[in-house]
Amino acid sequence: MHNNIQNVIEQLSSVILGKRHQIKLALTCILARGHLLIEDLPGMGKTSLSHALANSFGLSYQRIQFTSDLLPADIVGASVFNAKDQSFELHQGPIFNQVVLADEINRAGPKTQSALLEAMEEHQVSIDGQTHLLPTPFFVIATQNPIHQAGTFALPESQLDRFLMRIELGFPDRESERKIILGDFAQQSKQLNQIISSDELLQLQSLVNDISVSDTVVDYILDLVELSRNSDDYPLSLSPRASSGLMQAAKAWAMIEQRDYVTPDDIKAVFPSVVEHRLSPNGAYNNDLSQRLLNNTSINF
Amino acid sequence: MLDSKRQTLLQCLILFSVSLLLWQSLPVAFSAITLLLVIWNVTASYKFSHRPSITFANLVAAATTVALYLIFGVDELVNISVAMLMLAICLKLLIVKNSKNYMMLVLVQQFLIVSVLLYDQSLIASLMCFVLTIINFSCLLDIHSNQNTKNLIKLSAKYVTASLPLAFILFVFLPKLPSLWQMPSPDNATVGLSDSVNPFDIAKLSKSTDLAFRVAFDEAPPAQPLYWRAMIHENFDKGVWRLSEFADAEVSITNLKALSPVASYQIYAEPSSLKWLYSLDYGTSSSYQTMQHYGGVLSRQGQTNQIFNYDVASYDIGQIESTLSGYGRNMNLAVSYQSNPQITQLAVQMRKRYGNDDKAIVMALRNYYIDRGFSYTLQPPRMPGPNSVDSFMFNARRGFCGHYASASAVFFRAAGIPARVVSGYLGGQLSPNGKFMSVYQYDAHAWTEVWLKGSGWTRFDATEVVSPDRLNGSLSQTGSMTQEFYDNMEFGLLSLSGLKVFNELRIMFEEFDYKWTSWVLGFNQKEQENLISRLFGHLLSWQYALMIITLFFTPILIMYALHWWQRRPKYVDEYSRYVKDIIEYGESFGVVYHKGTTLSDYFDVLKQKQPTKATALSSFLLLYHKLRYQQVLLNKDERQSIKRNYKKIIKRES
Repeated sequence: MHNNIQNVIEQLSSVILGKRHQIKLALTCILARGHLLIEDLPGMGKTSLSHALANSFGLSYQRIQFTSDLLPADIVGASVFNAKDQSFELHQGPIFNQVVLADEINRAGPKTQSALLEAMEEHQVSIDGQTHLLPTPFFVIATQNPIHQAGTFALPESQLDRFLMRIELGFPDRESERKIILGDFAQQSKQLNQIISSDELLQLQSLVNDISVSDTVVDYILDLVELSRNSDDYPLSLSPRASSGLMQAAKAWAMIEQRDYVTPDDIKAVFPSVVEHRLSPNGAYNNDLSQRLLNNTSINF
Repeated sequence: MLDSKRQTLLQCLILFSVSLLLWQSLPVAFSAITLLLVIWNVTASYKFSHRPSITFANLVAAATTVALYLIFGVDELVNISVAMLMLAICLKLLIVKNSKNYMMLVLVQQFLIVSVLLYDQSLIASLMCFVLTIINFSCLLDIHSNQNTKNLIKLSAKYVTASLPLAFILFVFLPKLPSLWQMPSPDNATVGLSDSVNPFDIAKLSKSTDLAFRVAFDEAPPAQPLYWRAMIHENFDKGVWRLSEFADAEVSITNLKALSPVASYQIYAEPSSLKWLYSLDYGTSSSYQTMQHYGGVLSRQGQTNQIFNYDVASYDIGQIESTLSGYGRNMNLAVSYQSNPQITQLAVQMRKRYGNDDKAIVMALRNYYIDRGFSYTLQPPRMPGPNSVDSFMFNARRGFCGHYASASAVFFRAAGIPARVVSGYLGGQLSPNGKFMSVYQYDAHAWTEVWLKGSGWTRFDATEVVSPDRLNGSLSQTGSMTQEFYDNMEFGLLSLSGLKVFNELRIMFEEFDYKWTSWVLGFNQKEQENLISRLFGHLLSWQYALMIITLFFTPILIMYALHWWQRRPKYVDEYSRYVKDIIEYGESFGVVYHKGTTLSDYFDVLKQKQPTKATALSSFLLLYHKLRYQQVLLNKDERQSIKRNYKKIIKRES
């Protein structure tokens, strides 16, 4: 099954060129049962990545384009009166899918944003007082335009905290971009295969819990979060949700790295993605804070 | 971080304690000013009142300076210095701004705390100073660390206590040099003897429970009664006995070597307003800073406001002063015949009856006291006027030692027998373990000495006749006097000695206080020399200097060594040491280890720099990860392998 993960990475890398690290992080997020926030400019391949992820795992996929007039009911669905049956029937919204791409989440109003975030947290939605469970596995990829763009509602810290990771795809390197513009790779034509079934994905997610973490590594995590709380250099400190998320993400990363134990390298690999959006929600520090934490926390050998 | 409210409160606590300790020594008006400023500080820190502006604070400072001048004048140099120190701290505390100011306050405060010892060096005062130092240093710690008050005081106590061994070594071994300049001593009203005996103006003899001195006998103490002589009063004028003009003169005793002392002992004299010291008849001393006077009286030189420790050897007075000079005889016969006609008449009658037999006249006075029913009281009626001795002898017939001593001396002088009044202390309380004897202020006593041909100066104590119990020890133990004694006592621990618990506590405290007095306060230059020669034998001066340097620096070196030992790198196991060694090896090749770098990242850089070691590094890392992160115990082969790789890595190729 581990080989399958590597195959997924290979397949995704052939679609999104030169973004191997980001692909691994996205996989890590899905294996750690977290939700992913991608922050980048339009046209960087956010949609392609999420679509490819859904396909590789054989998951149902729906994309919601967030706009300023989007209403909560447009996401979760509504009960509609059926005149024929003389009864209300549920029209499920796009949220009832295994992979949901919430595109440009910060263009919708706070009410709509929070409807999505509640669903993410609780894995269920309430429509007209009735609770409906969402399908498993359930994975939300939200994309966000950089805050300084016009017509955006910034996500508050408390809601950003719901995302296990925030990643940036970034511009491709020169070689990859050459391939993209020459059309050397068949993004549209190439059929993406399902490599891992959704059942297998659930199994992998539970296997993440079995990855062992030594006390040294746990202490390292604790040192990192404590530094963020005790030092004056960090405007916000890391919550226990952040530290347990960090642990879970590091385990998932270790699994992708084909190990059954976590090393400090795993922590460092996932640390900026897990932590940066919690330390500086507006990205004001240019992704520096997490790096500063890492540089100021010693690793005991 | 610095908590200004806590700083203010702690500093105010110190100021308040110091003014309590110096309550008796400084004027009430000054203490009131201090108290007001302390209250201002406290209320300002709780924001009930405003802090003054700098200008206003300066005005207050000027006003208090004027007040100081009005209260103290300019003569009491030490008092006024201490008072200025206190006011300066109070006022600075009101306008203090930053941590630098607080630091300065703490340092000045330390001066103030130590200045308490100028006035009082007792065990309690010293302990208080120690506690106040701890509080003061906790303020200093507060400036530099971020802790709650309890932890600050704990930490400060730890530091101050840790400095005690060094203080002990310095105290014991640092040469006790005489002070480089003469420090005036604080003026201190201490209860005690007076250099004039004037019993007739006193209606009620208030007695103090303060300690006068302690005695440690070299051998078993001599039998009671013990008459501790301090002063000889030979000038009688209008009912008052004063010292003669020769009392201050120093005399030297020539034939001392040939004699053997009756008793030898060591006395720890408490601070007193007088320079006179105490000794049994006939006292001589070989101690530094003591002066010998005629009549076996000793005095101390220098300041009298500190505990003084001296040796005494007592001799038989007849062997030393066997003759009385003509001048001395006249001086001790001088009595005014205009006043006290009745007693003069009585004396003349006695002289007629017994002729030349001086001893018979002495016995006759003794019997006179018995026959006429004289009694001893601490609450005599007042007997003013020129004929006070007469009114005591023929009307009141009640009085305390001063009355009897004075009346007897007047009687003997009128009868033509040289007589003088001696004041000092009678008795003393032997400690339960018998090691030392305490003599209190309420043991103060006065008696008469008469010159008898053939036997020299002889003691005549009328108290012996009217209150024989009094001679068997301290006044507090005298059975018949107990109630009256307690009625006249100032409130103190002794007045509670009826309670068994208090009495035991009092005795225990006195034991401690004695040890403190004899070991710490009595540790003078001579004691120091004795101790050092006992420990190290006779030392040349360079050896002594070397010893002090060694003793001073050894604890500091030990402290540093301890510090170094605690800060030594601690390895979890040998593999951690391997890693440290490899990093050290790498850094010698310019591959600097940055904090927070993982081992694999560091090894990657090292591999590029040292390609030949790449395989060894990879194998080492694999096993190390297995051990440390996978938490699998290595088997024998793996242990050997990791060690082999480690050696391969750190091996330098020539």
